[in-house]
Amino acid sequence: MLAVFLYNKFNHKLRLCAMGMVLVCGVFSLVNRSVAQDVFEDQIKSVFLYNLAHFVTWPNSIVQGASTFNIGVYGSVSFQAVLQQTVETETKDGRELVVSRINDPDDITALCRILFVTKEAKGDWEKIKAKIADLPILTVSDGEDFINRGGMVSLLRQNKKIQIEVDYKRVQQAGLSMSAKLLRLARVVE
Amino acid sequence: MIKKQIKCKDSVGVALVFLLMSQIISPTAVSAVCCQRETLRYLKGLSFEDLLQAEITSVSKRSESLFTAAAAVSVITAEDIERTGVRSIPEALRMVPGLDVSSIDGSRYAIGSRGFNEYFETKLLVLVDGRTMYTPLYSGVHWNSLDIVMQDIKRIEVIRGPGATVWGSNAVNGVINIITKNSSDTQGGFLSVSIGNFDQPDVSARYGGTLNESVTYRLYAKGYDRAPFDGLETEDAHDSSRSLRAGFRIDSQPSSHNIMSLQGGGFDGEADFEAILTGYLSPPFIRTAGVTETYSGGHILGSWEHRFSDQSNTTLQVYYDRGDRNNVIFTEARDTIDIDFKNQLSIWDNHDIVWGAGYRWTHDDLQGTVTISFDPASNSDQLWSTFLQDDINIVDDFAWVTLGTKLEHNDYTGLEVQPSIKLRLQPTPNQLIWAAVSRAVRTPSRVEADVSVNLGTKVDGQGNLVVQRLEGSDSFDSEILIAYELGYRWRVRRSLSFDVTTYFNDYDKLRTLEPQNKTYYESGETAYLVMPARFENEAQGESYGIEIQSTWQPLDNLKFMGSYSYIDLNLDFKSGSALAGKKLKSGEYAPRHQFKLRYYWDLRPDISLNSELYYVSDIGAGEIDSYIRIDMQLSWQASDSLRFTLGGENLFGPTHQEFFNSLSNIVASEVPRIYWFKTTFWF
Repeated sequence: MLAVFLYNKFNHKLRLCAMGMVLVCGVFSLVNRSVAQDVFEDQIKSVFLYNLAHFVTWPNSIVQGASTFNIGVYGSVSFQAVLQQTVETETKDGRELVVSRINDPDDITALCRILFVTKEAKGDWEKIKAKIADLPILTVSDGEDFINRGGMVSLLRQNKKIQIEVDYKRVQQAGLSMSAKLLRLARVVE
Repeated sequence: MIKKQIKCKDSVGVALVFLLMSQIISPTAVSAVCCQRETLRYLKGLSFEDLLQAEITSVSKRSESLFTAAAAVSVITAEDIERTGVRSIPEALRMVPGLDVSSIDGSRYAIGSRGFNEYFETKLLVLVDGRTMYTPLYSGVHWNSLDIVMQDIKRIEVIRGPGATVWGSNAVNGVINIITKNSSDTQGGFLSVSIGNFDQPDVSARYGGTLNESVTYRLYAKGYDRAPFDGLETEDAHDSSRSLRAGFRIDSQPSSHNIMSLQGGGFDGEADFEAILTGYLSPPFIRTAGVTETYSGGHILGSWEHRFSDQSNTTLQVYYDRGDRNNVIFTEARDTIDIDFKNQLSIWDNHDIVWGAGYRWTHDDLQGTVTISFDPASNSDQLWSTFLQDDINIVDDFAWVTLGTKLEHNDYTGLEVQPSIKLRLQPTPNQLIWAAVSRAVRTPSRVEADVSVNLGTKVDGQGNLVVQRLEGSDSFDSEILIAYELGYRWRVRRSLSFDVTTYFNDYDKLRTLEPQNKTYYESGETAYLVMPARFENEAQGESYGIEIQSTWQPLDNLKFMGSYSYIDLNLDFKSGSALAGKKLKSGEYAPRHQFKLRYYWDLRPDISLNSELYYVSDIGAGEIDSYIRIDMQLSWQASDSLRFTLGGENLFGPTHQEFFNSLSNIVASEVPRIYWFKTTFWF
């Protein structure tokens, strides 16, 4: 309450000065805020990816030989860092979750279980798609129009929330299956 | 989660000063790595459903992370409510580990926590969106008028144990915090109709829309007509009830820094009961009569949340509430105005401060009958409060200490101080150990201070008519608890988690009824002797107990939740009491053992089977036998917009009584087998 008292004691000039400071600080906090929000958005998306690992089943023949469960990130470095933090010390069916960054579509191998193409890299999608062909890789992106352009799962921001869309036909074509719970909660695109 | 307030003339001034402070104090505004990890931990703990609901704008979710809470917290989610098909708040609370929920009759409940459970005094604080449901009349909750469209509930947070440092007086043995959905989450139309041997029918309807880009609203209505339970000796317990309510909620987010909400509603209802009427001057001195209690009321509540930065967040909330009740024995009309202010500051890297202030004004008008009167009949009370709590990360990512206290001034006992100290350790990301010492008080109610009620009449040896009268007393003081709690939480893996809490409660100045020496004559049409008794604080005692809960999801489509609780309560009367030397043990008031188990099983994506089992050990000296109660629901989602649910309650057990109390003037009923068929339609 002392603060209020002091504020009321301000004369007009001081008040103007304070207003100016508030304005400057306000702009600052806006900038900082959007950075923090982006991080938070990436965190939500990375937890979605982490959940997907558990809600999707890969063909046994593929899974058996591998000692790790690999998630590839194509595009943003900062997203890779957040995902790394999300899955560290986590496992899927006893296999360690490993995040690797992919710079070139040619580097994509059958070892990759999930491939996340960040929205910054959506220009490369056609090349990536051609490379993957029918490999049992779950393709996910937060870029627009991903499903229409042949992707499997899209994590799109709508207003304040992340919406999940799935093209289940394409998922099945790649030899993968999804839990009923995921299909119930996702928007399934025909 | 926590809403507390201040009385401020110049809120703009306050706002500006805080904006400055928050910027100066925290030059590095981007969240530190430690906070990011905490946020991730929180997000990973969410169900897929909740993750879809996570809002990108609410960066600081730290206060909502239940895994890291240094308190015995349980949450009932919208999914729990949906799947179990519970029709009322008390029925939803049955799911909470350790909470003792007993049906008294068809519309009344006694709900208690950690060993105390009476209709008229429960040491339990209940809030709906920050609006108190705890009546200052008798320190309890009118459960039959606390009703909500169940599908509008976002979640119910229950803290077992003291929460007074933040929530204030009367949060002694628990806090129940009911939070309704934002109207942006209830868009479109919704209609639910339940028909059965008890619901005749129970109808909820809602419509949500948008007023413009940043403003959403919903309108809702709920009505029911409920059939009577079984009487102890009769077929019909005369406890049917009818109610109608309607209301609205508007939410607006004009910018990412401001969230505003306005809600209001009104209700009207009546509930029959078999009343025990006492204090007659001619025999029979105790009579029972089937009567009807009527109640109505309304409220309007506005809140404004302003985020200055990721490090500073304030909430201002104001509400007005009106309630009218006529329970045949007396009538109560009550107006309440409440102003609440809260500010959360994350300063430096390791301090998370919450402070707030509040003011409440309540005015009542109580009209008695021959049996009961209040002096004064009309009264206004004021409550001033302020609190400060600091959560300090003392060892990076490993140990935290939370220090805080509430200062409160009420018109009965003056200043009350309710501090707490909490320690929590997180040895691994999936384990948490916490310990807490807290002080909490239950302040006197209007009844304890001002009532005069005739409890009974008898004829003594000389042929005199003697009336036993209970008289309120200004000297009745607050009941005091000092609680020691220790808890452990372990998330073994995503699908398996445990939570164990143990506690030792040290109570002092507990309420007793003390006969007074003076006996006097009163003459009206008939002259009679009065033997007065009054409320005093002549009991003390202790309790200890353990509460264990576990969640296990072996398959994607199958989930189990179980809990077990045990309590040992020992109260003794002090030397100043008429009952000096006597003891009261657990089991006399509330059950010693409770076991609860439920599962959710999706047989197919569109068909689910859910079931709940409750075991409650015996109460009293043979008054209430132990019982097992099993509820089941089978649900079919016929299409995106249509669902059918078949439900049964108390399916396999015989009809049973769940509550008794010699002080209550309500004849208890037996809970029968209940069936219902519910159709839910979205449009």
